[in-house]
Amino acid sequence: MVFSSMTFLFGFLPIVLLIYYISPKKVKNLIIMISGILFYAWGEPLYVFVMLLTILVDYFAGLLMDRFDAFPKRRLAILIVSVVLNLGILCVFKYGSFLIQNINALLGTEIFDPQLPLPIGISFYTFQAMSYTIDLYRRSIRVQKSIINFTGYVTLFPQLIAGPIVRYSDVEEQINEREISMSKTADGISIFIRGLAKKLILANNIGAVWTLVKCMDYQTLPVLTAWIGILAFTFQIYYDFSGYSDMAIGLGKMLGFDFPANFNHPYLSKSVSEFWRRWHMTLGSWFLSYVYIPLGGNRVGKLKLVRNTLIVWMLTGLWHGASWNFVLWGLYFGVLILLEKLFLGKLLQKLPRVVQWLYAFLLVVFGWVLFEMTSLSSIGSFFGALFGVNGAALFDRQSIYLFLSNILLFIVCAFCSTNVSRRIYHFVRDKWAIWCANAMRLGLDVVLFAVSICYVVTSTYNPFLYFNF
Amino acid sequence: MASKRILLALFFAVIFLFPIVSLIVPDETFSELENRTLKSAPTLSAETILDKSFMDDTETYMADHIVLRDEIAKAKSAIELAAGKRELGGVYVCSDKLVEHIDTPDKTVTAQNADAINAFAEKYKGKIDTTVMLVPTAETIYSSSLPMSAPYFDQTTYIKSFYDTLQNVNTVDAYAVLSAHQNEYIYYRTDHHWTSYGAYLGYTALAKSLNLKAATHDMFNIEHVANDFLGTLYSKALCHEDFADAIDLYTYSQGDPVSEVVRYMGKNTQTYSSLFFRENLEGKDKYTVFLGQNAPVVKINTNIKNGKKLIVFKDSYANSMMQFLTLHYEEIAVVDLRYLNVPLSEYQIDLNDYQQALFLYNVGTFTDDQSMRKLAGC
Repeated sequence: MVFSSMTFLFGFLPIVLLIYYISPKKVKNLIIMISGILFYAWGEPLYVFVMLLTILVDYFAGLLMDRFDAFPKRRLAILIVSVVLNLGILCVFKYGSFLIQNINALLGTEIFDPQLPLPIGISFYTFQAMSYTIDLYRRSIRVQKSIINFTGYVTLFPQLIAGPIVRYSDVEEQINEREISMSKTADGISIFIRGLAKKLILANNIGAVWTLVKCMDYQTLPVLTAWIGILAFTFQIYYDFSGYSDMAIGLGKMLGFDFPANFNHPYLSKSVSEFWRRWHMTLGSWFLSYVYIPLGGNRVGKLKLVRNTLIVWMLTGLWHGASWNFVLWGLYFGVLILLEKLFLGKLLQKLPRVVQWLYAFLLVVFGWVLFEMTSLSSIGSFFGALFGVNGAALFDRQSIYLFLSNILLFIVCAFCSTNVSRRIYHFVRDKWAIWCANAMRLGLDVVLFAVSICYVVTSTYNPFLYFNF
Repeated sequence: MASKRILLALFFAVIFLFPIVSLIVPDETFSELENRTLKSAPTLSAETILDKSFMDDTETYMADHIVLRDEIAKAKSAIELAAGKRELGGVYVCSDKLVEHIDTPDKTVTAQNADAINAFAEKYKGKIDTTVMLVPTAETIYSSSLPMSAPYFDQTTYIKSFYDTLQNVNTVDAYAVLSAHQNEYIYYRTDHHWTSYGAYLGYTALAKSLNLKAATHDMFNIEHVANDFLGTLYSKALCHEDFADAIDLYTYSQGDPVSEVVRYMGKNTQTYSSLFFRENLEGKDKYTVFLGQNAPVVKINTNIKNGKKLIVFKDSYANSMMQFLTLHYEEIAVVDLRYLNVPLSEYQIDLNDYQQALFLYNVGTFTDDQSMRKLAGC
């Protein structure tokens, strides 16, 4: 169930919120658990048991680690078993086909590929659940003895299937004690509406441009069309993903939770390293805490630094999908970040800020080509189109049409990816009047909600020229 | 804090009231605006849950039956129009009309259609005189008034090169006559069909190929039967009710020759005394005043006892052409291959009875229509 569906907005959400608000504090976590399992089962009626298996593994690993508190070796053994099982489940369902296909291609074997469909959100909830056992082993959190609370943490529906990757340590206190207030709920609604609007108004509409361009023939694609297409995707993925994160954070607040932020105006970054500190922040910090730092972090020799960085970025790429282009995409950023660490960063800082920004933005945009194209040949031919080496025209009638009919949308997308609107809000609040700033915000939220509802409701509007009988 | 209270109240009012009111209001089963049956309530069973059809159906069911659905859809169009969008639901919004965008055709479909027609003409060579008429749509006639250099595919070249692949058939140039009268009311502004006047112009071009002497325009009594027709393009774009169309019916001033119209729908037949189904003017899809909803076979008999019989393979553009062709034939059989699922003999049609065959399509449907291959089984 996605948040921008009728079933969620007009079915699941009102029912769950109603029950949640009227029930006593003691059973609230039980409601979170049940609603989370139902939410997941709605999208994955079978794979819900895979998720429950992951939860049981980590719950019991936690209990056992607590029981053998004085036995370091046993604790380590328990951690290893839990990590292996978590990653094992992830590998079977997410990377199974990829591994089998590559092994078959490499060794000429004919291992049967069951082609299991990917369980929704498995990469997110596995990482969330793993953060619990690893942190418990490190003694940075305490054991969760209640199975309801632990299951509730993993299945907490706002963050279950598309992030942010909320670590157990982020919400350890909140699971037992959290504030549910009118003010916080209203804040949550506001953030949720922004997210909904990002997804439905910006991401879906600009995404339609990329859908159109993506399936054209790159050999004859004019330069302008290629740029319009990949910029459209650049905004689509940002608003899709950050919109979903905003909805999750907003829904979290409605339930009384404070989740970590996941995006911080990534397209304002002035270096690739900065981009990754602003994009999908909870994933970056997960890899930092659980992979990069355990490997030695920054405090190692240059050779090890190269090794560690490439390992982390290869894994980051692979986390996004079981395909070589994601590995390539990850390594591409790994290499860029290494170069920035080694010398490029210092060099960049001497340049004008706009050049720094352009450098980072273009490299990120080129990264999206690697992200979106699954084959090397289409990556090559799309870059060919971007730089006009395919010999096609600079633009044609369709490029002009795409440009003119979407220029406004591009401007809005660009504007919303900056922090200008926030600065305007702060300016009005501090220099004019608080009520004025709040009224502006309320007006915007109401308009965005109304327009978003229009898009949700019309999802099935589909007129037929002739009555089908 | 006041603004927070307002937001809270509004949000909860919307997410609670919409579903509750939608549940209370009885379900519609048919959407006139979309010309389709709406989703019925999903069935709950272990099977529908496991294959997720229950979940998908619930989503569709809720979206199909939400209260104020048509109004919200119109509001969305208004928003997009205000935001500068000029293509809504595959329809270009021009300054004075809506124009359907036709996708660049699939070459294989076109080649299949040519093969089917050539095979037909070859098979009945010397017995049936075959004529093909492809009518360009408004997108080509009005290509210069499309919004913002909108892309379109060149139907005139398409028609010419298609005609070049045909053998043993007469072809009709509809483009020339329509283009010459482009400043007149030849296409509906909110529907993808040509107007009766557009069809009349087509008839004057067609008459030469069929060896008919076309009746002049002043030989017809023109009756305005509607001026509030919002057609299929309106349904797609959902804007500009002010473009509402008028519908004109043409009857021959010397007396209507049509004596009987029989519609065959599967095993059912319905007999009428006129080409015009005036009761359909009450509904939304008013173009069905011409011959009614598309049926696999319609037979028209006239009191002109000249023994001439014509068989027409067609899409709905032909429906409004019948008001003119009926002046010249004793019988016209109108066959819509898209809806034909049994051989023509099941409808008591023997092709050997007909001296002339006409293929009458608009480019929009023709390029997308795979039913021409059914000809071989006729």
